[in-house]
Amino acid sequence: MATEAAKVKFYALKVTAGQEYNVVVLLSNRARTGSYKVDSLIVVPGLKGMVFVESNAAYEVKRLAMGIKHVRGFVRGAVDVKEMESLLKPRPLSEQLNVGDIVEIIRGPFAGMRGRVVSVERAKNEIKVELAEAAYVLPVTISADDVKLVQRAETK
Amino acid sequence: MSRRKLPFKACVKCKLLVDEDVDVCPNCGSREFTDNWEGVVVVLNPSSEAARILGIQKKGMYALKAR
Repeated sequence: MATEAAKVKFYALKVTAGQEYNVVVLLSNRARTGSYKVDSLIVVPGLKGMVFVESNAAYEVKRLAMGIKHVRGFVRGAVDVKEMESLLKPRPLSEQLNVGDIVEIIRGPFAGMRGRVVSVERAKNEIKVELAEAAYVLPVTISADDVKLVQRAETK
Repeated sequence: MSRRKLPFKACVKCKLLVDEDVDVCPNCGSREFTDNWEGVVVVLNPSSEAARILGIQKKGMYALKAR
């Protein structure tokens, strides 16, 4: 019974889109000053209108969020720890990229350009891309976080 | 994309979010900070699941990504 009660789960709160960070600051201020059985608060980048609260009881989360500005509601049901782990630690993009893939550069001086992956350095999370729009073959080395996969290389 | 969310900067080494006027990270002692950060984890209990997943040992507000 005791072990069941101590099982940690993640609960989701619906908040106004764009106010996730402000809500987390308000919640953390309240959690620090009061006595709430809450272990952590999480805002996942790219997930709009959601704030996750780690706690072993749903009523503690509701008590914590009660009356806080921009909190729209409580999502019923808990988020599994494994699911949360995949949200917190997504697989690095360099692992998903292969030589020959077409990528679009989304950050840096070459933003908006497309190119073909020439080599992947997984340890450094870097890739070498040949820009398609350049007048001559121009391989550039960029971080794998700065690209978006457009098309996979054709497999033989 | 890199819109500023809160008036904090993130330590490049340990990702702790600190105020703009802090020069040395109180967590790891690093002097390197970035404004280009995303996601927040507030660790209220260092033995929580989130802290275990991310390898955080101290309480505080951390960024999930810091470039």
